[in-house]
Amino acid sequence: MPKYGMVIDLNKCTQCEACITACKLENNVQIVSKENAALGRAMFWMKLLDSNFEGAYPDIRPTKIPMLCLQCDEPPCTKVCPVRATYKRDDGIVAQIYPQCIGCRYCMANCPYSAKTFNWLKDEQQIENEKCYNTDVSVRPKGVVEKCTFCIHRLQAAREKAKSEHRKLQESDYIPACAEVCAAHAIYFGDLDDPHSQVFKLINDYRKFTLQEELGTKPKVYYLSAKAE
Amino acid sequence: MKNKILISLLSLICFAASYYFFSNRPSQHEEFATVSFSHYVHTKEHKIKCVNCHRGAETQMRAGIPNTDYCSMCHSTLINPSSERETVIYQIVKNNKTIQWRTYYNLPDYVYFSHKRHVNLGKLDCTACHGDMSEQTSPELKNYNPIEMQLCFNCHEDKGITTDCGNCHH
Amino acid sequence: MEINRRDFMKLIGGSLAGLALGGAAGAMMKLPKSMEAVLYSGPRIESWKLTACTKCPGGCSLKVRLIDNFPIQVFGNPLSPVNEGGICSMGLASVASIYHPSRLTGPVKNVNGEFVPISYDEAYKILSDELKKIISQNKHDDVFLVTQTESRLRAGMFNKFSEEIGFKNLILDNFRTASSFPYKNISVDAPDFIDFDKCDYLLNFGSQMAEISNNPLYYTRKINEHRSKGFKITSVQPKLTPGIAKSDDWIPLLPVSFKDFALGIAYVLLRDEKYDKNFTGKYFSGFNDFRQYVLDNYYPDKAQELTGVPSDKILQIGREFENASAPAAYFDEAVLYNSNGTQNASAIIALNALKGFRGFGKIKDNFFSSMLGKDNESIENISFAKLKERLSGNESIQALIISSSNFVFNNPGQEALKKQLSSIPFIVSFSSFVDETSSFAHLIIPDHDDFEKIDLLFDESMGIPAITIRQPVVSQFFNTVDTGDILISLMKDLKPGIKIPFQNYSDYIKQAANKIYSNREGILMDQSKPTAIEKGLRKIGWNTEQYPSFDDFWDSLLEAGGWWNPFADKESYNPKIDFKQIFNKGSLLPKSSLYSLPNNNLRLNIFRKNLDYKGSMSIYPVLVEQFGSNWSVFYELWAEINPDTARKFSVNNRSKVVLRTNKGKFTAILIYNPAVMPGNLDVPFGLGHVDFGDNCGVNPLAYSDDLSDKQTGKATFSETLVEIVSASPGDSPSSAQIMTNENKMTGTESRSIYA
Repeated sequence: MPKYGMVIDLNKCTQCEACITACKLENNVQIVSKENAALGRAMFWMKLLDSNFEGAYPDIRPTKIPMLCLQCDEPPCTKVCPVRATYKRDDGIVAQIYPQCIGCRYCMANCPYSAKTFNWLKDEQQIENEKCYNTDVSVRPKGVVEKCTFCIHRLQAAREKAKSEHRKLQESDYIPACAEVCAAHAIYFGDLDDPHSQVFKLINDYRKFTLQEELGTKPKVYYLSAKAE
Repeated sequence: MKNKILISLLSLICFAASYYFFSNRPSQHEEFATVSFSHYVHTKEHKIKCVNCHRGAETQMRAGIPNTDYCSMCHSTLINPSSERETVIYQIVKNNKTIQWRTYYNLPDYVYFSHKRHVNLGKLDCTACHGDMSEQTSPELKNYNPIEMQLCFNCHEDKGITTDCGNCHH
Repeated sequence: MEINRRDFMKLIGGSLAGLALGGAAGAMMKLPKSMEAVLYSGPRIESWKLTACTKCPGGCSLKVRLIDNFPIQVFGNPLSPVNEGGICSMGLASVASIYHPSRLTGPVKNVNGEFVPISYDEAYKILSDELKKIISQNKHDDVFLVTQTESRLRAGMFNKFSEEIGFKNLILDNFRTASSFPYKNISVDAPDFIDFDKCDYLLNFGSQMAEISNNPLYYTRKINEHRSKGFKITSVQPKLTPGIAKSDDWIPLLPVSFKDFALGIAYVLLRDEKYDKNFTGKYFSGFNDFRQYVLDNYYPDKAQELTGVPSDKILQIGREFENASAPAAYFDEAVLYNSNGTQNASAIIALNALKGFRGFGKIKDNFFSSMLGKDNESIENISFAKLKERLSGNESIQALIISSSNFVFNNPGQEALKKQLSSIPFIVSFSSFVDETSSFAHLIIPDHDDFEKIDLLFDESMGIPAITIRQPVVSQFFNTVDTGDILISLMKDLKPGIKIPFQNYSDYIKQAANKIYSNREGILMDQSKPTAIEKGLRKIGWNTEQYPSFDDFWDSLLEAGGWWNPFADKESYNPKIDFKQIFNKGSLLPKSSLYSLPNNNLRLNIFRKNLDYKGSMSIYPVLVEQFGSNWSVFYELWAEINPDTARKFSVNNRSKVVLRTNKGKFTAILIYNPAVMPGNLDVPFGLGHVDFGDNCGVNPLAYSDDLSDKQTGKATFSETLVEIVSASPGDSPSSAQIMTNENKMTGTESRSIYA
């Protein structure tokens, strides 16, 4: 079974926010109205984590981390879901099943990275956006928790394609939307167990770190960042 | 009291009438038309296979229902002038209207079902889920063979195929 | 039966509810009637098409995903050398404009303030009659054409039109033209690109290279490569935007002092005598005067006094610049966003001249100019400043033709502009929407949407010829007409007997492509690079690509999405600089008053985010929401302030402040950001449309002083003074500390992002 993981190279990332837009458009994430946004209900599956500044002015530099659901190997969210709407699959992706979710938000409380979003109110979407809905992904109703799933719909489509062409699934068949659009090629995605994949080589890089490693969640999204010489 | 009932009734009628007249019903468009389709005639009498009309069944996610261009392959001439339904379809094809088919097997948005995977890779026959449509002479009012998750589950468990939720619900 | 008022209202209420529900239930999205049918029983067949983008000058190649022949999503073309599969937020969101409900579906005429649809024939007749009248009265000089299209061939069509008909006032104001203006100003050709193969030091003046520039995605990759080779980047900018956050050195400097800084660096080179004596001897006339001028006036302490940058920093940067073998001091359009913008650029050109422009290059044999032909060699393109001058002057304008430009929104002094526009007797716009500028038009003939057009895009920044093809991914939805076709028809009507070598715009594009058909060195984007043997064969004239005719080549070109020549030769750039043209030996200007802020004033520093370029973001809801998401500010204007400055004014983080400039008051949310120049208030540009797209936020240019660069007319971004009138409590002072994420990172060492 493959174990899907991601490596984001912060030394290459220029914070252009294309990954954020791509995720939003690929997964039909709702655009909230001004009132709801003011209440903190904006829905972003991928976001740029708040700035950490290093150095003194004018050598000060902000660090912004593109953050998505880190698809932990020991996910705290799955342990508290009362209805098994979120669980870890064999291929490592932590799934989120919208018809099963009852909206108790216990998983949201347990996630140390605040990676999940809740659909409070179904705002009316602009027509020009509705027409561009990705037909592969469902549109979530009100009262359901949603999160990044490493574009699992693309995995399904890739597996179907590979099977119908009578071949094995290759690394280049399946890539989430954020990794596909990154202009700086800073997001790498692949099978962490496959010794030939790029992510396998990168997680042995000296620059790697994961967020809040001490909590033992074993996230499968690694970050690479090196200090200045 | 009597007044109240009368007024409520009148209000309801007004509501219904407004809805009916002002809604953008598909049949209001000049291009749309309705016709009563007989599976029996096409499959038993003319021996047309399912896949010939529902062309996406083996290659696409959705099987699809053909549009009038496809029907015109046979119905551009009036084959049987005595049949009323045939005249209707001939007129539709001649005037290039679009038929607004009422679909039964519309799965909800949160379910992913791929015909290609099941028909082509899984080697399932159409009758396994849709039943035997070849006896139907005119459209039913209700779904002939309602699709429920239990139907999917039974087959998946029998054949030993994964029942992971995330494969179909995303 | 008696009905009282209450019951009557119930009746009406019932009917209205039915009406509303019925109408809503059947409300169809804005699509042509013929396409609505497909929505009902579509088989959801996916297909892919290649096209290209003109949201910025880069010309990235896109692959569009269509479902049932409706464009749904846009991604980058992985085989394109320009973007290599990457795409920016603007490109991702761009597909929504085809379905936008406010999009004009056909020509409209302004009848008493309302736009009434008319037929194309009628609209064309109005336009051609009006122009014929003006021509018959010999008032060619009273017609102005404004276009900011990033497509150079489209600009070339405007050029040809103006030339043929005799209209001299064509304002070609796209990014590349504006960036080249300072060179034109001193009568030299602009360099084509930064030669990253040679360049080992990049000194960036004001350009947000990885965000909004000539080719942002290409520069993103190149900056990463440049740094991984160990070379340095220094950015001289008033704001540390994400695009330049990777610089090794950030010199916070107001654009008004760019000239002083550049000459301060030049001083170091001149005093250490580490400049390119060969180049200055051959190409820099008046060099000795220049040398004397700089040595007398720009010693480090004086430069420090003028700019506020410590003199040891100036020395450090100067030493780095002089010790590099091929440094490049780079600027683009952004340096012109100041009232002395062109002067600043001239000083930077002089600085480059000291090192012989070794970090720059030119594409061999002027590849693109020869491809465009005579049409794109400069007509005397005048700048926007001339239009402003004319509008505010005594001579009236008879007609104004606007295409791809929303200049009312992108400029200060909007009240005056609007009044001046309303007095022009005939304005025609080719915009697809009724925006701030086209709302003054008497006639709007909307252009095709970006995904319905055909065009050929290229940009010199890569250093090699690379062309991407834009082609229609969907046949036109509505009654729109390609502007190029209108211009061709007008040329035939206004100048009978004219011989034009092309029938319509599509033909014109094909003829431009014909010029690359004969160039055997290049490859289509979906072909692999030729091996050494193939290269050799091509060089001696063998044709390893078999295209029996141009039509075959054209079909393959459309399929591939573009063409490029990866092994093209480069030329060095050796312009003849004239010192007197750069500087009149006038008096040295004193330190700008912007540095000494009187009383409670701050400097309003406007910056751009890469989600908006030229103010077009507001028709894409996903971008408007994402605009401020970084700071968790949604649909509102925010102002970034240095915490030390904020403490002096006793305003807290995230308080709602009322700001006042000379032009009025507006509100914003104050955000603490330690990476902001003290004394600055950084506000983003892009929000504030009123009747166009999403109505939210404030346009800071509407509250800016009406200053602009004298030569190009580009609006100033950082010379307005602002004061904080009042502030809401905001967050309490203790939480005003920036949340550090050290606890979110492993270990006690904090890691920084630059290697």
